[in-house]
Amino acid sequence: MEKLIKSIMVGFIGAFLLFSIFVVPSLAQEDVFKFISIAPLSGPAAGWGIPANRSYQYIFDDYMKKGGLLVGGKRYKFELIQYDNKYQTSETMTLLNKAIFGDKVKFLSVMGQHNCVVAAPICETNKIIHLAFASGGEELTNPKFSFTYRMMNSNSIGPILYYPELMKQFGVKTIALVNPDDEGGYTTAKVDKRIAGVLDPSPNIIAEEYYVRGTQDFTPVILRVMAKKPDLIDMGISSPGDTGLFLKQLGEAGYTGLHMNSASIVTTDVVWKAAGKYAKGHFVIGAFAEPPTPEYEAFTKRYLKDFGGTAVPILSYDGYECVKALLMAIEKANTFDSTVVNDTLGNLSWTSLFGPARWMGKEKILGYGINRSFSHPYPMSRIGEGGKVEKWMLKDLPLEK
Amino acid sequence: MLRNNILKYSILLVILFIIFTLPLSIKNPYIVHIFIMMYLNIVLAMGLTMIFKAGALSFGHAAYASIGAYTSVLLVTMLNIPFWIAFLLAGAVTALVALFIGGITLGVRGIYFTITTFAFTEVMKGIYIAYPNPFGGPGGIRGIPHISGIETKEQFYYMALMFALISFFIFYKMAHSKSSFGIICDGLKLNELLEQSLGINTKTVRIFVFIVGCTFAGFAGSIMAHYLRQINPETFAIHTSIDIIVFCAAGGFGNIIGAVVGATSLTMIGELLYGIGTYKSLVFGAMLILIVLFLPEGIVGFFSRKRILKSKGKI
Amino acid sequence: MSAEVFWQSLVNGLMMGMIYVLIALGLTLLYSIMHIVNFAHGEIYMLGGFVSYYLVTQLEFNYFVSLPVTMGVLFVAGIILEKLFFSRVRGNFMHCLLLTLGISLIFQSLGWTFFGTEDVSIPSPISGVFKFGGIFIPKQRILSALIGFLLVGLLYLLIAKTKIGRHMRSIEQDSEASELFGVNINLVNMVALGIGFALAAIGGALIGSIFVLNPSIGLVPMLKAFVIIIMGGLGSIGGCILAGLLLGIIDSVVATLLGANLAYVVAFAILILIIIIRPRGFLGHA
Repeated sequence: MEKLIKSIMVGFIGAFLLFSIFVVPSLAQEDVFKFISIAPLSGPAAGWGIPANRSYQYIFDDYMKKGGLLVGGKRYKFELIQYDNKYQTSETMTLLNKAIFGDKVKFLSVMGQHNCVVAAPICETNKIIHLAFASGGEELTNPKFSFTYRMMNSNSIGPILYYPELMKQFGVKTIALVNPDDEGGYTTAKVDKRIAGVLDPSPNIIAEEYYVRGTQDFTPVILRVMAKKPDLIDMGISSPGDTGLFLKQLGEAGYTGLHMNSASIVTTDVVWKAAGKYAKGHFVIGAFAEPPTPEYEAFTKRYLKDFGGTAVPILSYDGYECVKALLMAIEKANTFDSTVVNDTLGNLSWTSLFGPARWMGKEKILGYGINRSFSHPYPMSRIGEGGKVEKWMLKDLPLEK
Repeated sequence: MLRNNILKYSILLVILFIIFTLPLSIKNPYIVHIFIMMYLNIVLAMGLTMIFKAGALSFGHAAYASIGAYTSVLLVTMLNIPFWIAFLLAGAVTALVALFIGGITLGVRGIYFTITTFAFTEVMKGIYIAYPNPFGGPGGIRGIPHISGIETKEQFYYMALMFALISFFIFYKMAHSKSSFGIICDGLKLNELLEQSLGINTKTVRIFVFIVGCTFAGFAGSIMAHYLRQINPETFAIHTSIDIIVFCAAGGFGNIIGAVVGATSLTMIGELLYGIGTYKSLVFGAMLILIVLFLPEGIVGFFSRKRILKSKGKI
Repeated sequence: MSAEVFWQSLVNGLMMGMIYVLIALGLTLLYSIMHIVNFAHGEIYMLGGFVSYYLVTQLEFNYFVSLPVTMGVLFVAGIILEKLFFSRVRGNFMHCLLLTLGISLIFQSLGWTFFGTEDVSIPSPISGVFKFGGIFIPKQRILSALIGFLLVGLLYLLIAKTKIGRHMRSIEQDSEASELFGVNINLVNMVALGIGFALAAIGGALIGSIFVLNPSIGLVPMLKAFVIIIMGGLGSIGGCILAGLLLGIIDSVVATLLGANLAYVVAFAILILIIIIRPRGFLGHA
């Protein structure tokens, strides 16, 4: 019996070796459009990666209802390959290698500011269309990376729109920045400080704190921040889970000022679940109190029916629209050649769940130099009772300034 | 008997031929990448095996690799020192740290030592994150320049291969030498008291072996950093140490050949399971359990046992 | 750092320390009585949290009822694991470590598959904050610390005053002699193991109501537990409690002063000091 098990184990390992070297790379399929998503599926940022992948599958399913992707007279089925980058650059690099040279795809999506920053040059060199789920425009959206499209509103827009209004309507004068301890966090803080500097009147950034993503005990950070008595705590690019915990502990510590997430899109009911009443009044970006279009409402109902919950993770809409734009561009260009598709996609403006959508970036205050940043009407909201989205204001982009 | 030998040697020659000509025959950069990582893993596994032979189980191997990696990267990017010198210095720094930490902690028995190595890994990670200047914080360091002269993947393949082969010869000699040193090493695990009564300073030998194992981890880390051209604290976190332990266990703990076999097969398997859900942990975990329960000497043990039984005419 | 911030972080640390103590106690029971090095202990803590979570949210158990039920479930799980796995590697430190490491990897992987990767939290029975001087203590944390304190007290009573406790102590000193004196080694071992698992499990359940749960939370508390039992002295319950509270305080104060990453460095430095100066720990036997 023991010998049998041993033989099986050795045989297994040997077969696996042969299989992996010789068989796997050559497994390719006709008539299938492969798209790879490299996103966090575990760890603290899984609350972003998992909904994004679901939304990609949705648009693929919607195209299948029409018969598939139509290119060159042929209909193509879809294959969504999901890789877990655990929100880390080392994993992203390896998975990117695998996607480009192992799976040989031409279209992929990467999530996470730091991950996208390392992915962008590789995709550029290899002419891979890179849908970047990241908000850091200054690093990612520039003419060097013409194949990189950012799937979210830039993280500059949060402070550009919110800081002046908060100063005007609530008398905010001092702001504390609390961000996760990674590239996304550092970038967001940098942008916030820059924007605060160019605004007139200019708010005073009095604290800049960082915490490790997935931290459970925020009390050290909270104690330090509260000691400086800020009017507003801006949690920048914090994840929904971290935001919720933070707000709960912040409220328990007796903070009575304002708080917001200026760069990350947080699902309001996730925050409410963790923070309860302490989440009330939290300023959020990207959350619509009422659906801007009937399609948006239909998507909401569909997602909630399939996956439960009381609110749809907001980045799902972004994910859906950007991949939809990609598919539209492919069909319009009628080819899988990524250079041609890139050209078509970059100039595309289309009707989205949010209303009119296009890529922005050449505006003066953003100054990116190339239009590769997803832009759509921008809701400004707060978290209301029970985690519902409470409308505050609605701004239409583009910005004139 | 002679026929057996000819068969064995020709198989070995074929394998060597395939290894040496791989980048020329298989043009796929991804497969070349897997082999490069495999060679580095082999060196890491061999180093850990040596430490195990000294009677200790280290969860800190990835941390020593990280010391080598960060040292050589910082020397190259901040002080413009040429890679090969930085490489050697990285090894030296790793050796010093191993001497310091090992000197303090190797005096205590098994479980205490192991826990300190575990804690050490977390500490190094914490230091890299807490001091973005110079370590780059959680984002790590990116844009590490090419090693001059080694710019393509194929060239790197041969460099990694050479590194693995040289390390293999060194480790093999250390472990199997009929010299007094090799025998002392073997004896450390089996009967330390006896050796001590013979006047052999077992602690010195143990520290020496530990330093050698860790230094090679530092070398491997340095090469890995200049190959990936970016490093961050997560690359060398505890899960990497655990991976190396699984390599050694699968191949056969305490056996240099076992380290090679384990690292080779599990790097491949690990790559296959990469990023697709969480199956790598599942498979590695199951493998650990099955090996401990049924095949404690690992794959190598399976074969040597078969050979012994065969020669005795039992199978 | 002002005095107020210092006292606040000290009190926070004390509360957290109590939970560390629970996890560490389980670990030291397993090691000193059964000579099992349990690298899966963190996963037991995680599973305890999730079992409690499911009991409270899906099966609508009362929070206070869910706690002993969780303990019971993991107690039984411990027995099963012992029969299947631990019994085969007892005494062999290396094999035990590798085996439990493998179990840990599998539990984590299964956790991700079955519990998902997103954070969940257990709704706590009481909410609100207790104000004391200038210090804020969330009531749920006080409750958790009290529960921890209660359990530690019960454990102490069990070991010091009951028959089975006496048997545990005698096995710890000399298992062969104990057998000669009629101690049912197998039974006592099983009880010790079950208790160890139950304590870790309740640690997870308590954390789940203060913070959040996800399948990756097991690793760091387990490391801290090992550090605690070494600092306190293997086999010593008093040392474990002392070291656990101390580590909780140090963690919290250093994290507030210097940031969470450096808290590891300080804890490590203390560990090294203990190993050099007093290897048997605070209250361990020589």
